[in-house]
Amino acid sequence: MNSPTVAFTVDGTLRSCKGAIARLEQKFADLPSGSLARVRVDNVPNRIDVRAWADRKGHRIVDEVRRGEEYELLIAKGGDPGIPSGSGIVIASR
Amino acid sequence: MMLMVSVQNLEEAREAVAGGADIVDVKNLREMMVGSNFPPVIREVRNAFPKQIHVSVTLGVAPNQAGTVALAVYGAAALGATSVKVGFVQSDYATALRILRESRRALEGSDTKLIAATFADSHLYEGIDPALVVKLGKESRSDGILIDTLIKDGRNLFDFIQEPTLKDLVLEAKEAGMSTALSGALKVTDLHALVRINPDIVGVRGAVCTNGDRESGNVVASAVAALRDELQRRLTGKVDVFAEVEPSAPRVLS
Repeated sequence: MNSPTVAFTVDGTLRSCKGAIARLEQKFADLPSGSLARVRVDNVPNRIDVRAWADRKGHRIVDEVRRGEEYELLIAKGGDPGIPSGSGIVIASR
Repeated sequence: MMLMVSVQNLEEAREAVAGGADIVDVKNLREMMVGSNFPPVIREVRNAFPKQIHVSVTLGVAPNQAGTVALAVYGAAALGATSVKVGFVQSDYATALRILRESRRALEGSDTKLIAATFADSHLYEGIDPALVVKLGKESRSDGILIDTLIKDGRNLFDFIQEPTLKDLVLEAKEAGMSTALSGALKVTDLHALVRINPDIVGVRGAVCTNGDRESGNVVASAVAALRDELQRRLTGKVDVFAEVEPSAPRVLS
């Protein structure tokens, strides 16, 4: 099975004043529904915030993987019916 | 989440960075509680650290004069500040917006970020409703927002604005593409709530000063490191602040 095309990746693990949600919002704005974004965060509150943001905006968490203290989420921009949703997160070894 | 420590001079800045601060916020407590420091001090601090250590400049009590503030903002950029915070004491929304828009214009061509600041205790001195900070930030095209307190009488941010309201403001600002910072006599005991709110930046001073005294005390590296460690323990889940709100439990594949 082919991997879906990811439009962009946000690295929320970098030390930056502007967090993952701010950058996701900006980059998602001009993309069509169904576009995929990958976001990496390295702490629990950012993971919770990204999930809550996606819920509120009508986006879907398609997949989520945990590697140690990092979480990688694959998000589909709202409105797309064609991408299967993951049922939870996968914990991977480092 | 980045840790911002307010400092008054290079010695304190060195202590803050040695303790793990991501941002040193240069201010001058002798000009009100959040006053501005002098250009040579700001330059000295900026030159002492690599660019990945952010140096912010406080214009905490800006006068209601757009030209004067814009010129000060321009000065902060010329000194290489990573960001400049413009706050308002006795002002109104329209005046503050005009000042921030002129500040934005003053920063054209500069990498320095503009931060719109309001005070949680603004009702005590006829300031701007802090709930308007996101609107103010968006309409002025600021890069970020800060909610602080002006009064330093033992009360802190959470005595004036409750956690759910702060959470909503932070999320709204993030969704508008801005950075978010909370400050205001914050202590270790506030870290649970702060991590749940999850601003991009947490600002402290008294909590990392000798004797916990933001005015007569000095920033010390060991106190910064201890606070940094406590923050990190909560961010990584070693201390659980989300017991009741964390989303679905992880699925473990064999």
